[in-house]
Amino acid sequence: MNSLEHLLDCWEEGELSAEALGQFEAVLATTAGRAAFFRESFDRSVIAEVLKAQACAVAEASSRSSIATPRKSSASVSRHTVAVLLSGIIAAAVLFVVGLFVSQGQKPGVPLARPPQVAVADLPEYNDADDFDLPIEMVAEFAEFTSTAGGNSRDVIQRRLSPTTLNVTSGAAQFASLGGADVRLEGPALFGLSSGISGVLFEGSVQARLTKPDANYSVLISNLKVFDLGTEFRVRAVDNDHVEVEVLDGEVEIQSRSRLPLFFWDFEESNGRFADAVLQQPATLQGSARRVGGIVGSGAVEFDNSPGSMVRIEGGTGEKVGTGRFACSSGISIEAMIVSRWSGQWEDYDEIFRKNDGAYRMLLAFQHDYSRKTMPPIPSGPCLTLGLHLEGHRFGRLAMPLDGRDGRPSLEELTDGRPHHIVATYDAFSGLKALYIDGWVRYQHRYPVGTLILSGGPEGAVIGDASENPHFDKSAFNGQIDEVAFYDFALTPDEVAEHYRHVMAGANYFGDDVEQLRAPPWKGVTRLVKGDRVVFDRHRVVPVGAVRSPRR
Amino acid sequence: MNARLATRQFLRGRHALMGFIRLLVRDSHAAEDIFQDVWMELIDATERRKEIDDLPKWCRGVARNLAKRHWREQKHGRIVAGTELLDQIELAFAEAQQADDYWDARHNALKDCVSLLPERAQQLLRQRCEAGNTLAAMASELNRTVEAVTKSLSRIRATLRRCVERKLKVELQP
Repeated sequence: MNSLEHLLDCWEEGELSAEALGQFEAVLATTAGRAAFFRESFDRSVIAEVLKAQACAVAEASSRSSIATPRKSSASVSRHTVAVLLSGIIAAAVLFVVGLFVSQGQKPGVPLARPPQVAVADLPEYNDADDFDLPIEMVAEFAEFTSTAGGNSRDVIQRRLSPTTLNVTSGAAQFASLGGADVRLEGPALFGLSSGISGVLFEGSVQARLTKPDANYSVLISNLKVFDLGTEFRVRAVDNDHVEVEVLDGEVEIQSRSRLPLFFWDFEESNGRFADAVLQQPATLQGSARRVGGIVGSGAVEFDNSPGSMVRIEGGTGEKVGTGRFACSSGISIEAMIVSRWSGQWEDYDEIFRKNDGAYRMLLAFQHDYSRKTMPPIPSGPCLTLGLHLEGHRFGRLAMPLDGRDGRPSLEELTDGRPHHIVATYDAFSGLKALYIDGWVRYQHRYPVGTLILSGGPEGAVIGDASENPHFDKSAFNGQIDEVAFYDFALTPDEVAEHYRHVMAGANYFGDDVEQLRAPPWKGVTRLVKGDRVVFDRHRVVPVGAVRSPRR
Repeated sequence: MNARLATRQFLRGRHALMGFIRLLVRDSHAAEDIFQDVWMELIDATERRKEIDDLPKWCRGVARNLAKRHWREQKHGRIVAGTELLDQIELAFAEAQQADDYWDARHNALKDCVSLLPERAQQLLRQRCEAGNTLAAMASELNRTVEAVTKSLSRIRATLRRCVERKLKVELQP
């Protein structure tokens, strides 16, 4: 044994005699001695690390019941389609997300910090012809430490994330938005990475700092948006009604959601070419679809159940899922007035609205088939269906049986030749998917709070059929459709009731004031500067308590 | 320096830093705790916009202070290095930090070589790495003398050194 090895053994034993200490100092007094000392220390450290990792791997393989969680903080979890676990070393240390899990098929032993409010069973495995995959827009990047077993591996890779929700139970997590902001979450926090330039705060607190001069980043919470103007700011969800905004540097604008649709087609134009009232998004009649007298106003569209008869919405698409004007993340509403002549027969489908982006499609339709992918599960039968892809839950349908039970309408009621007001909503802040008929909610299902929608993409949206694809030859609508509105948030029960009252009075949903629809979707309420810390009502977007810096 | 940049630099030298901390506290669990704490201090420093010229040195400085605190808390009576010796140890690490690529390669080679060891050899090393496992305790457990255990460990380390040198020679050849 060489003397250095002996000295290090003594050091490790904690028994360095005065003589050994002298020898130790002599070794370290020369460059060569220090190099040898470093090499020996380095090797011993790596050996310890490798053996510990191996031991943990063996323990995990034998028990298959535990994945090391950081010792300094409880595990954090995220709903994300890639399962990764950050190492115990740094994960706990406060900067990165400490662990992620796949909400379906969770890894055993990873504690779920926030159990889903509704037990969501695994959806049956099968592939529809329309379940094709599409590329998804990436939104963020973060350093990830691979942890094969015991959290001892310290290999780091930069991982890119598609839209997902991070759940940090303690400590903190940090990622870089691809829009150019460093974003830090203080646990406990629940935060949706909805796009490269914005995020959705459900719980806890988030701090954002721009890293590029041309970058921007905004944080949305209910009706309030914090829009940066070259800044560093922190947003904290105080409770279900209040949010605190603190500006650490620069300036932010507090914005309030206008609660207006992204698109609204009222089919008032007589030439068969329709423009929506908000963005003038064009839509054209196809096949034998034709304009007729309106259910509301002067025009509606009549569909005769023949394939390819539809209103095709031109544009609004994006290259990838998560892009385009129909891309929604934290909420959605699809609203229409219909007169239905649907048969309700087996494998007959009547589409009201559909954007057919494969596994990320959105649809509002009458359906009668095997009732697959329905949540909650239901027996086969005629249904009104809202289909959405929710992150971590894949494509799923809220299918309301048209059985006349428990407040649900029957098929006969909905096909009685009279106009009916149909609204389908999903709200990530509550996790609630709901179907409204004639002003009130008839059917709903709750997902875990913070579950984002994955939507948008390259396929065009269609009213009255599924698409021009002959595969969907049974999807044509039979009846009339009018007043189609599409929102990127969930209408409230009060708003739905108000819209219904308006149409019953012969006006459109908005009291015939179409001009108001051209207002920006977000309007500035106030600006805050460095040092400001203000609490707002997150629904009404008004300050309820302000701590102003003394110099202002 | 922002947190991301600091993170990258921190990670680049993490093997050496961990070696430094392990050496000081001689306990893998405590070493990992201190490693975490150094990280937290670093992030706090970047948030406070603190200027850090030599990040590895700064990290070792923080680790050294944390190790001292650990020693105080342990009160186990085992040797605690004096300032002069710590300075020399730190100098050894500072001189080595110039060649991160080499140490990364050595780290990977060691990982491979450890996995090639016979199970009995791995087991002996594992026992030695466990916190608080002295040579005397190992000898007692294995029903061998301290000298025999020491010699076995030395042979295993020599085997690993040869294995690593062979691998590095192959990998680093032009």
